[in-house]
Amino acid sequence: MGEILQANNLYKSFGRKQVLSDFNMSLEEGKVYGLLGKNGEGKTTLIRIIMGIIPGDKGKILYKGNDIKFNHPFYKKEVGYIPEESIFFGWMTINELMIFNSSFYPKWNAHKAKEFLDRFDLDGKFRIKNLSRGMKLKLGLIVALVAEPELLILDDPTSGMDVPTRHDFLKGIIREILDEGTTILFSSHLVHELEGIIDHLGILHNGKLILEENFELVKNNAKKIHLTFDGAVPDGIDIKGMLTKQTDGNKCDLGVYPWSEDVKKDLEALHPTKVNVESMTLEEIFIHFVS
Amino acid sequence: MIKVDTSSFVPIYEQIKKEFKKEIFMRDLKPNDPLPSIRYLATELLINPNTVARAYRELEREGFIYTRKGKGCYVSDDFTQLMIEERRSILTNSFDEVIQDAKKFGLKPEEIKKLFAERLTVSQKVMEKGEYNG
Amino acid sequence: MFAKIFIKEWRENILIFSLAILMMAAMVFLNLSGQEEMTLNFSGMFLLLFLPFAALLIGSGGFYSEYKDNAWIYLFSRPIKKELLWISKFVSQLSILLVIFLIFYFIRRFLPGLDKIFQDLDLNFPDAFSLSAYVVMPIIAFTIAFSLSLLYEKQFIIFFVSILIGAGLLFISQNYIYFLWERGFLVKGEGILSVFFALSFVFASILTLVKSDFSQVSQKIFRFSKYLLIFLIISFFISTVWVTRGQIFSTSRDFSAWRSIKYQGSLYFQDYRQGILRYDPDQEKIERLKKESRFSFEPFSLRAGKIPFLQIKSRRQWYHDLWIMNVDGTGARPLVESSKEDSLFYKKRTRSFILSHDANRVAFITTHSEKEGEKSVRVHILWWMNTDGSGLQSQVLAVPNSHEAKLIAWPSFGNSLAVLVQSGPLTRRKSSQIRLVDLDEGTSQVLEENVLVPYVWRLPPSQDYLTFKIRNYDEDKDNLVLLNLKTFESSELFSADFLKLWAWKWSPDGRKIAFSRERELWIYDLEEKKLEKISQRNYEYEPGFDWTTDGQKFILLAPIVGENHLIVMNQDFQEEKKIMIPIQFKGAILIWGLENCALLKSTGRGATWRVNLETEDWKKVY
Repeated sequence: MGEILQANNLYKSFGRKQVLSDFNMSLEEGKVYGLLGKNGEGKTTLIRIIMGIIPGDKGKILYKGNDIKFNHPFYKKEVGYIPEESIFFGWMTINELMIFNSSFYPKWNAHKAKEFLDRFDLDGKFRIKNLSRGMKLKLGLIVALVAEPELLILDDPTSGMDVPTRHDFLKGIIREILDEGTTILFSSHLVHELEGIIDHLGILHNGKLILEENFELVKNNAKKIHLTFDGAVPDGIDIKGMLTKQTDGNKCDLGVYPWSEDVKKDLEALHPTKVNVESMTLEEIFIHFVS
Repeated sequence: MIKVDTSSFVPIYEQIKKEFKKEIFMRDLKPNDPLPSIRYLATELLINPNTVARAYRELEREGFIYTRKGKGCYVSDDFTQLMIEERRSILTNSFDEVIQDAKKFGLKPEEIKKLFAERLTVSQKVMEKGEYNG
Repeated sequence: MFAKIFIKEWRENILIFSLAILMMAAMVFLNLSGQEEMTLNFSGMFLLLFLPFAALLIGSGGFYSEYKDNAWIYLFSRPIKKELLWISKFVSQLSILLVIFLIFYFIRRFLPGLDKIFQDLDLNFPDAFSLSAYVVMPIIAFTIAFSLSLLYEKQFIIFFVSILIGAGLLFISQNYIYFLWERGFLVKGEGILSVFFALSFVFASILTLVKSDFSQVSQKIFRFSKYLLIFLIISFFISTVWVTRGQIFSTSRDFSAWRSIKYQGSLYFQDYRQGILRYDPDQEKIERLKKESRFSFEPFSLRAGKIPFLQIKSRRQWYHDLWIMNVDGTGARPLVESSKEDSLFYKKRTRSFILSHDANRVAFITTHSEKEGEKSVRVHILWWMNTDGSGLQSQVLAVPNSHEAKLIAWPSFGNSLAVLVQSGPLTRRKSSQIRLVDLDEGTSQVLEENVLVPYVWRLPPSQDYLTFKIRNYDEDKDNLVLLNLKTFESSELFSADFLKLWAWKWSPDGRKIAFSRERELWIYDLEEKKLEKISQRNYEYEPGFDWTTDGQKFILLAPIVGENHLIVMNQDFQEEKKIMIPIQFKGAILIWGLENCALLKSTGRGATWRVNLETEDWKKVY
């Protein structure tokens, strides 16, 4: 299993705002990669750079080991992309969009398109401008998947959608994983959705990936520590892997990653009266990492 | 239909295993009954199919299910001994959790035992009455 | 891929296209129903107003569909190079415009009534209705609008900005061309500037698309402006070079061979644009003497190895400086500088100049305006001086209003000049006079009247005689007249029917004149005062004959069109041999005899050929 996508030393700024700063990321083939990050912190920018929609300032993107050199478009034939809002040309009907889109992709599977349309209950004669947001999302999924991509990139497309639509959408994604083994890069801030399906987790913060790890590993090793002290909490607690620290009276809560025996020893060395170790949900992991 | 909590600290594949074992023990799933396909489970639960696949693999390894090529997974028909061990293991975990919680609440071991005996008596009475209000 | 984009663009612009079709249908209908005036008005409006408007409208909406609902995110994430995307959209939208033109063209061709209307328009308003105006201009407008539409989503703003920028650039380019012309450059192919401008917009736009984030409007505009500026500067530079030096890059073949003069075995051509070209018989090459375009040469002003010329400093102010140089291009120095305020010649325009027989003196005529009460009058002054700059003298010439004065000969004897005074181009009654001005006495006398210009210019080397035509309107005949400038004797050599006397040449020793009349070749011997017919047939209009420089041989182009020979005669006009001409010349052929060889060139474009009279070997010369 090789690396299907790599970002090396990527930099991007908008005016004075440095959005990506020495950003590095690596996607393994066949895996589902969840990308978390606060809103406006660069997830969409990163994805747009990967998709060649906007240029990066510095750095490289490698697709299957080859430098995509901004605007060299052929790798895009193997990449499906679902942006935040599935926008197409409003005047086209769904069928017309299918025909238009198919001309770009040699692997366009017209049967699959028909299947999808039936499954999602979309009539090819509908005009895109008359579709609801949910229908457009499904259409976006179809457009991305019918080209039989090897890499599927989702830029938080389900935010704002109602639950049934999101479920339908996720089902479609999961089917895709089942059938095709597509690599997936899923950027979302709906953490619950990601939690069930990702293999790998990346957290984007301050222009970099501050965490890039196998999700199970993260879940196993990210811990909430509740410390109780006799008297005041000692100053300057700094444990290896500490993410967050909150003190309240004689209690101190820490977020720690990764948990290990060494960390445990360090904690005991502080002589707390009580030590409580808990696992974190993905949401908590995210919060602790970006604080 | 089994349920999983994706935000739980327990890994999803463990949850799946546990649920199925429960169903098997409770005889909701009888020997040689088919398990839902990986596809079905993944799309219903909206979880990574690999996770489901892993759960099934381990269940098979542990002897609870077997795979028929091209047809799917089925409940084993011979796991009496496993069942006993597993049951005990599951219950041990449940007991541990309760004891943890009780300790957190500040109950002393004596009080825990007392509470346990109380609840046991109550449930016996309920079972005799034929009502289940679990 | 491209096909789908093509269809998409057509679909998105179908409204404008339909509107154009509707208007053309209306035009056809009006025409067929015989409403001539309405058709005329409507058609004029269609061409001059609607078409550019449509071009701008389509262009300014170029990227609108991508802006709408942020469809650019979709399109730019497709596997297609952005440059290709830009070009596909451009070509597709341009094709809409071209199809409209095409339909219009066919309608015009096949509806005779309509065709006539447009022909009338073409005739009366050539600038407005030329191909350039109603095809090229809309295309350029479209290109600019399309390039700009990348930058902003509001279509109507792009529309107006394009109009502003287009008008602005037009204004700038016109003034720039005028500026160059005014500085004395001979401007050629100035339309190229508009094309380069349009291309600048194209390149700037494509580069902006490729390198920018489409959602950042100010970044795009800034980038675009940067690129545009660079490309515009390059355009200015290239077009300046093209326009002012273009003739340098054109080959020597393209010179005009009308004004030619022989000197010391070489042949000199004076081309209005290219300056002086010289055929070197040793090298067998044509070389350019002066590469500048800001000079003006009078025809046949080469004498005794020197050439006077005007250097144009400013056409508007008519600042010309009179210079002189050697025949090989060296030793150029100014004689008169009219651009200096304290100069005698300030604001006086030099109109003609001539060298004395030995080139020790030069004479020239200046004109300037003076006020006489309410009216302003043109004053002609004749100046003469030594070519070393000393001895400047002048005399006012009495030239009637709207007439011009030209120096036409400076005979080898005495101190007199032949001046031609002719009516200007705008006068009704044409008149011309030959006067002889005595430089010592300051007197002038009229020698001839009603001379037919410009055929005065056939001079012998000494310039002691003038030959010219006089038209006899009563009998519809032209007379060839020989005027002796020393004795003032004028003899009518003979006459021919109207327009049938055209070409004549002097022999190198100045003793004979060869001329053609009505397909006959005649020789006039000055000493013996004898007229002799040499050959029966000849080309009518061109001097298809010449002496060699030593006067030993006479060459003549073969009489009948189609029978391409060169006839070589000895000095007594006996035929020595015939040489076949293996080349097909376009149009009439000019011929010059040099030492033992002849040069041939067609009056149209084409190469110059040299034939060796001995070996009959033909060679192309450049």
